[in-house]
Amino acid sequence: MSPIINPIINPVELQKSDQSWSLAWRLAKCEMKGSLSKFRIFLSALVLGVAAIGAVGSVAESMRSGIGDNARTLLGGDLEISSRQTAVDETVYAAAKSLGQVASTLEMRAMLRNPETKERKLVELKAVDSAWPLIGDVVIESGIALSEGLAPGKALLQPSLMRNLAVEVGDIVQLGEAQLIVAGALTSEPDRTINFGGFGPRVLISAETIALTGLVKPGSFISYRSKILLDNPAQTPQAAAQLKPLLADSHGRLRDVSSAAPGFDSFIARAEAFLILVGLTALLIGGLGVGSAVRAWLQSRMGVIATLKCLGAPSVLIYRIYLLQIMAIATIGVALGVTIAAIAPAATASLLAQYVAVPPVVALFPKPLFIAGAFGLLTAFIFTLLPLSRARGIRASQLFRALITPPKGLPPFGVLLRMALAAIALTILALLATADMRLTFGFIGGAIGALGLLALLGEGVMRLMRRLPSPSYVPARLALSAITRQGSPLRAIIIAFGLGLSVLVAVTLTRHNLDQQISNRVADKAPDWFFIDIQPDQIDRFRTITTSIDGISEVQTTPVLRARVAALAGTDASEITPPEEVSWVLRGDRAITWQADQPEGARIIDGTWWETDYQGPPLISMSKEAFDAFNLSLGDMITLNVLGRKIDAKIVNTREVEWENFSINFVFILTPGVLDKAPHSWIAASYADNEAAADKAEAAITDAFPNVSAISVKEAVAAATNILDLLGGAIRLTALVTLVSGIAVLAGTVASSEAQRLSDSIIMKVLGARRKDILMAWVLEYALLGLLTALCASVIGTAASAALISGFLQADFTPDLFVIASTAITGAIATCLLGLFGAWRSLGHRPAPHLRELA
Amino acid sequence: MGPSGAGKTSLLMIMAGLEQATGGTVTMAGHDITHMGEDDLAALRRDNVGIIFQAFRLIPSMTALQNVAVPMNLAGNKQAENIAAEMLEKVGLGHRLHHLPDQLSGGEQQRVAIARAIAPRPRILLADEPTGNLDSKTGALVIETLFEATASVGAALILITHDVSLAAQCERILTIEDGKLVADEVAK
Repeated sequence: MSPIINPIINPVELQKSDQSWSLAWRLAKCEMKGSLSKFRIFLSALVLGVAAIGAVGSVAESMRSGIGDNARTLLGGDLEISSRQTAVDETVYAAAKSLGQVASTLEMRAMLRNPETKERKLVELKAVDSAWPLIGDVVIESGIALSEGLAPGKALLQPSLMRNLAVEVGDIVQLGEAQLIVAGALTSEPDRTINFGGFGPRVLISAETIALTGLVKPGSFISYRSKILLDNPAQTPQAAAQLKPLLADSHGRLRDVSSAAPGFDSFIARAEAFLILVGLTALLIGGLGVGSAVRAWLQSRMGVIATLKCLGAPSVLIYRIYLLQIMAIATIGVALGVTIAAIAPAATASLLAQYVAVPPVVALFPKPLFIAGAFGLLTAFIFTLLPLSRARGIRASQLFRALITPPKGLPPFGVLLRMALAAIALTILALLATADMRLTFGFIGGAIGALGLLALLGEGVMRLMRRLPSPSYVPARLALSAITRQGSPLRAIIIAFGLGLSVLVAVTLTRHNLDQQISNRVADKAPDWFFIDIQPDQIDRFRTITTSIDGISEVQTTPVLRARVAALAGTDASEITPPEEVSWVLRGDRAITWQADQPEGARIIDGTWWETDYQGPPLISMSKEAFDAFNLSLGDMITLNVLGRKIDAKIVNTREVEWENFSINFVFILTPGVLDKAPHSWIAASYADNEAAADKAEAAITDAFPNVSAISVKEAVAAATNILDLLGGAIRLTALVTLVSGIAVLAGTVASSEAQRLSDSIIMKVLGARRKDILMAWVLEYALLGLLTALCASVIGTAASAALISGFLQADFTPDLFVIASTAITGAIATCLLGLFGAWRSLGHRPAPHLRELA
Repeated sequence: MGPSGAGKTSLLMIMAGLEQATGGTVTMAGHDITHMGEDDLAALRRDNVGIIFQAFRLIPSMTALQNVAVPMNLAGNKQAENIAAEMLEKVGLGHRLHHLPDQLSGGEQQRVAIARAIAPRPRILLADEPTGNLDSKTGALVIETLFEATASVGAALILITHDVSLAAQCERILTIEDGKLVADEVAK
C-alpha cells in the first residue's frame, strides 16, 4: 500500500455531501435496527392519542354520512312545513299539494292510561294522515300492516310503554276522552331521528283517531308538520322558493333535507369537537411521554453520537439521523393509531344503532384519519425537537471520558422557532378538526392555564422538598434525594398525572355539589307537578280541585301561548347572530304569558313594573340575561309573531329569572289585554306537603281533564340528572384518557432514569444494602411522587369546582374531604405501583458485571 | 507517556480539534484550528485525522463493515464499502465483515476500530491507550496491526500509553507531568 496524503479539502464544500438527507437516512436505518422495542412508551402514547382523535372523527363522519344518505327519510320528505299551536294557512297547504305528495302529522304530549290499573304515563303522541309516511318504513313488532294499526280507534305503542303500562296487543288504553285498542308495538318510524330517552315514549295514531280523543283544543301545545315529497327532488330549491313567500307572515317554518336532523347534527358536531380536544389533550400529555422516551433513547445513544462526531459527522447530520429515526418510528405509531381509528366506525356501528334511527355508514373516511395522523406526527415532532437539539450539542471530546452528558440551557433560537411553528400548525389543525374557534381556544387556554398552574405547583413543591431536612432512615433519605435531585421526574409527573387527576377531582366535587343543590332545591322550592294544556274554561275548576286536596300548599297558574321573536329593536330576527348562550330565544317558538301584577319572587333589575290597571299599547318585561346578551335598552321594541300576527311591544323592565328553582318562568311577559283573546291554554304548577298529596292531585286532575298532561318534576329532574351523568361520564372519560397518557409519561421518566437507577442500586448493594432496603427507597420515592401529584391535583380540582359552583352557578360550594382524600390516596398508590413496576427490572441485576462496566 | 491526570488525553483532544486550547495556537494539516467552528473541525478531522480509543467506541448497531465505512460515507466516498472490506481484510477480519461489535472479541473490536481510523487514509492517527482494555497477548497483536496499517497509509501515529515496551517501539517518546512536557527522547 503506497502512502497517500489527502489534499486539503474546503470544509464548506465537504458539508454538502455529509449533510445529505440520504446519508442521514442510511445511518438512521442502521441505528433503528432492534431499537423499536425501546420505543414502546413512545409508540403507545402516539397510538392512543391518534386512535382517539381519528376514531372520534371517523365515527362522527360515519354518523353524518348516515344522516346525509338518509336525509329524506329523516325529514320524511324533501321539504317540511311546521308550525306550533295551529296549522298553517290552507293556501300554504294547497300550494304544497301542487308541488308533490303531502303527508300531515300532529305531535303533542298527552296522558295515556291503563283503565284497568289506573296507571298513567306522559307520552309523545303523533297523529298521522293516511299519506304518511311518504318515505321510509314503519316497523311494527306484530307484523300487521300500518293501515290496520292506524285504523280509527286503534293505537300503536312503543314496546317500553306497553311494558310500563302493563298492556298487550288487543288491550284497551285511554287517551283523552277516547278508549283505544292497542293494535301493535311500534319499533321504529322513519322521521324520528334520535332516541336518547327523556322525550317520552311514542304513541302513533291516525288523524281520525285523534279527533275522537278531544285532545286538540285551542291553545294546546301542538306541533303541526306537513311533509312534502317532490316528484323531482332536484327541484327542492325551486319548491322552497315558491313556498317561502307564503310563509313569510305566518308562524310556519320551512325546512329542507340539509337540516333533516338539525339538533342531532349540532349535537354530533359539539360532541365531536369536544372529544377531539380530549384526544388532543391526551396526545399532548402523551407528548411529554414521547419527549421522555426520546430523551432516554438519545441518552443511550450519546456514545454513538459522540463517535460519529469524532469520525467527522457535523451536528446537522446527527440532528437529521435521529430526527429521521424518531419520525420513522412515529410514523409506525401514527399508522397503528390511524388503523385503529379507521375500523372504529365498523366497531361502533351496532352500539350507535341503538340511539340513531339511521344506520351510521361504515366506510373509510380519509379526512379525520389524515387530521389524526397529522396531529400525531406534529406532536412527535414538537416533543422530539428539544431532546434532539440537546443531543446535537454533545461534545465529541467526551468520548475520552467516562460520562457523556448533553448540554443544558435554553435550546437555540432556531429550535424554539420550529417548536412555535409546529405549535401553530397544531392549533390550525385543531381548528380544522373542531370547526369551533371559541371551544378550541377556550380548551387550549384552559389546558395551558391548568398545565401552567400545575407547573408552578410542581416548582413550589420541589423547592419545599429541597428545604426539608435529610431523614436519618436511609431508604427515606434515598427517596427524598431521588425526588429533589437534578433532572428529577417530579415536575413532569405532576403535570402529566396532575391534569387528569385535577379533572377527576373537579368533576366528582362538582357533581356532588350539584346533586346536593338539586335535591335541596327540589325539596325546598320545586313544584311536584306541572300541568299543561289546561283550557281557559277549565282553569277555575282546576283551581277548585287542586286547592280542595289536603296537603296541596300552593298552586300557580298562568295563561300561556307560543310566539316567535320576529324582530329585536327594529332588526329582523333572521339578521341577528345571537350569542351562543341565548340563541335558544330566537331559535324556536317561546312560551309567553301576560299578567297585571309583578310575579311573586321576581326581582326587577331595570325599569319598573306596569300599573295593575294598565290599558295602553303593549309593554313587555324581559329576562335580564337575554336583555343584556342581545344588548338591548329599555324602550326598545320587540316584535313577536303570535300565530302569524305581529305584535310590537316596548321593553319597560328586566327581571332576574331563577330558572334553577323549577317554578314557572318566562323570558317575556306582556301586559294584559294584548293576547287574552288569542287561542291559548293555561299551565299550572302544584306544590304539595307530601308525596301522597302530590300524586292525589295529579290523579284528580288528569281524571277530571283527559286533555291535560301532567309532567312530574321528579322525573324531569331524573332526566336532567341522567344528562348530567352522561356529561359527567364524558368528562370522566377525558380524565381517564389523559391519565392513561400520564402512565406513558411515568413509564418514560422511569425508563429515562433506568441507567441512573441501575448504577445507584449496584453501588448501594456494594455498600451493603439489601434488596428490601432498595425496594423500600423506591416505594417511598414513588409513593411520595404520587402523593405530591395528587395533592397538587386536589388543590386545582377543588379550586376549579369551587369557581364553577360559586362563580358560574352562583351556589354554595362545599368541599368533600372524602373525595379529595380518596383521590390523593388512589393517585399515590397508582403512581407508586406503576413506578415500581417500571423500576423492578433494575433490582434484579447482579453488581459484578456492571461494576466491571462502570470501572 | 505520563501518570494519570498529567494531561495526555487533554493534549490528544486538542490535537484532534475536539477541545479548544486555552492559550496559544493549534495548527492541523496547515490549518489554524484554534478558533475553527465545530462543524468545520469535524470535516477537517474526517479527512486528516483518525482516532482510536481505549474503549474501541464502535457503533453497536452497525456491522464491522458499516462501522469502517462510516467516515468515508460521511465524506461522500462512493467506494466506502469496498474500501472498508479491503481494510478489514488487511487487519485480518475479512471473515467478520457482517458481525456486530458485540459478536466480536475485544481484540477484534479494536482491529475494526483501527481499520475505521485508517480507511479514509488520514495524515495523523491518534490513539488513546489502544491496548488498555486488552490482555497483553491480544494487545501485542493489535499493536502490530496498528503499526502496519499506519505505515501502509503513511500517516503519523501519536499514541498514549503506560506500557514502556510499547513506547519503546515508537520513534519519539514525549513524557508529560502536571501538564508540562518533562522529557523528549528518540526511542529508535
